[in-house]
Amino acid sequence: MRNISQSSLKKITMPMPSESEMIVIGQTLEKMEKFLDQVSSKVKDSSLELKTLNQSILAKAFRGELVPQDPNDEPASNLLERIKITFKQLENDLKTKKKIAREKTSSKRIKMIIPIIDALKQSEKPLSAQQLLSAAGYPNNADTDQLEQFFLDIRKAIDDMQVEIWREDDQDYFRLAG
Amino acid sequence: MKVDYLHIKSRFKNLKNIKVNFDENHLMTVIIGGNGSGKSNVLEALVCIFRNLDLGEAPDFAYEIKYKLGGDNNIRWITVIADPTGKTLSQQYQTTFSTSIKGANQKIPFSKVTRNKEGHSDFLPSHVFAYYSGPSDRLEKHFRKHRTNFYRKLLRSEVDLQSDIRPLFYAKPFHSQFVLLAFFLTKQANQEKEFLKTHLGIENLDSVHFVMRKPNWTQTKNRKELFWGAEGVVRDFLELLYPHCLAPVKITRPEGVGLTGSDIKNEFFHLFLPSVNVLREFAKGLTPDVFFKMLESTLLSEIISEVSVRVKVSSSDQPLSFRELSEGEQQLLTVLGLLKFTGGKDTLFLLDEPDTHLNPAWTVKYLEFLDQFVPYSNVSHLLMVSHHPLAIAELDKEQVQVMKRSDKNVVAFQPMESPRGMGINFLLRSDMFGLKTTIDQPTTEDIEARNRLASKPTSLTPAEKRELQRLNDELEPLGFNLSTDDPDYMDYLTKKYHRTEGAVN
Repeated sequence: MRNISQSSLKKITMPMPSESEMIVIGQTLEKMEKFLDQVSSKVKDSSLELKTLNQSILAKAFRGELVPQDPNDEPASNLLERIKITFKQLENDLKTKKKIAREKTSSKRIKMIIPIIDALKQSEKPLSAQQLLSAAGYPNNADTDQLEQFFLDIRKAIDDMQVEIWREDDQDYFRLAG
Repeated sequence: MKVDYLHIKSRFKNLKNIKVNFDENHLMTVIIGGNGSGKSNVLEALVCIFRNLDLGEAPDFAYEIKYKLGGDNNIRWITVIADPTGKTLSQQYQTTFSTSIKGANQKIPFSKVTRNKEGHSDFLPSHVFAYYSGPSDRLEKHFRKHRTNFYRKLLRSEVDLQSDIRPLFYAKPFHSQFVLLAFFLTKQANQEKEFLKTHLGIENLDSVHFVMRKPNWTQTKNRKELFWGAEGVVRDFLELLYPHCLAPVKITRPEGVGLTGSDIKNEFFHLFLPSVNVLREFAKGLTPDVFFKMLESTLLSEIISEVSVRVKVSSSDQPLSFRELSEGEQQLLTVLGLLKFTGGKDTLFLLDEPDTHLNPAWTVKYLEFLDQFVPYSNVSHLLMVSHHPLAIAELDKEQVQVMKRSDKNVVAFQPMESPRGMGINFLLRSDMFGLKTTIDQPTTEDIEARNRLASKPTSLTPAEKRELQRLNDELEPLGFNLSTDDPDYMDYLTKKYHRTEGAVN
């Protein structure tokens, strides 16, 4: 040792159990180890048993021994048929929904709001207000601001004498002037 | 209707044993005071009193109130002494009246005080009108029963618009749009339109767009029925309106979100009036106030979802949507219009901080605006709560009540001096706002000593000059040296200092 003198090392006291104590400690540890081994082997055995139990329960269930049987129950073949039909229906619904959604987004992309004059030119026949609204590309759930735009557009077209308006059966109809 | 005084005897919110003297000789009384001093509670107490008298319900607290109804040769002074501890209404209310303020009191049985079947009472104000600019519904809730009653009458088609307006009426922001329409109903120039032009810059209406919705009470399955089976006043309104609309269309769209987060769809009917002339054509034969009541009833019936009004304004070439106007402008219009259309004779107006969004120029003129719009100012009383010193700048002291918290109680008193002619600086430092106390005591004393020396008419002794210099040195870092909030006084002090400065140094 270069830097620590033997004398200072000797000064350090080290606590040690007595010999009898050491023996008792060793015995206790041995006992515990044994106990641990026992428990783990028990767990192993039980889990093996559990697997076979699962299978035996299933087997019982398929044999119809798990619950008391009702002779009035419909035969399983009917039930299977029913499940098949419902499944198919659900599949079809999902398909049509997807289709509608696709159509909706595509119609949004294509449909642009156009001046009502252009809408009337395209239609080549008089339109009611309700028809004009969709012909001019307004969505069928248009909000107040969009409708106000629609009304202001009509007002301008009438003021500029580009369209004619008349009322029939509580509805306003429009056609190009001239 | 003029309220003479209100004495709240038992506790109502933070008020107990407080007497408020209102000025029965003027149209207006303004209540001022710090936050939490109970100003708004006075208005609320008045609403409670007249609400319970009107509905014939027991009083909420013990009080005594005296008010005047009628004018000229039909004056009635009514005193109500209420005490909720009585077992029956006649024990709870003692009501008397006399024909002059000091005259002998005659007893009135309580059954005569509440309204008769025609909605008339000789001893109650014909209408109580309230407005509060804040978001809380503490005032509004007292009006609910009247509104529900009116709504029921409306659905049973028992409303006569020529005369009926609810005796208790609470103004809401959406009323401002109806007010605007009603103001423009007549073609002739009038005071209201003049007001809109000078103060709000609104020159005319451009278009009106009513959005009707299918109400929840509808029962008709008939799809051809245009107005979902509406009846009574609402039906009249829609049938009058329909022929004048340009391209009416029906739309179904989501109206709100249900509890489960899914959209709730409803049917909407969009009715557009393309010009002010069409509006006038449609409302031909209706007076502005009947028209206003009609709109209000239609709104109450839950059939109007929205009204979008576009206005021509002097500041822009393009018409603006009314919603784009400022909060202050809409607020002003709500109050003024309602004074105009709900105010009959013997009306009590209660305005709680109606001037919160107004600029100083309007605040000064606010009471004048109100005065212009109240139809029967000699037999109406307007009580207003305000924080704004400018709002009371032109009043007599009798028109002001100051509320203060003292120890455990709240007191109300009349200020020593009239605010009129005081100027804003003095007003703030008077007993009405008491701003003086916000400067700490030692500084205040220093300022007073400094001002005493500086304004001494004879020239200062050397000792006084030194003292003045010391005070100035001390006050300067605090920003109190030459600055005072009164320009005339400042001018005076500057001159004084310029003269003494050379001598001191």
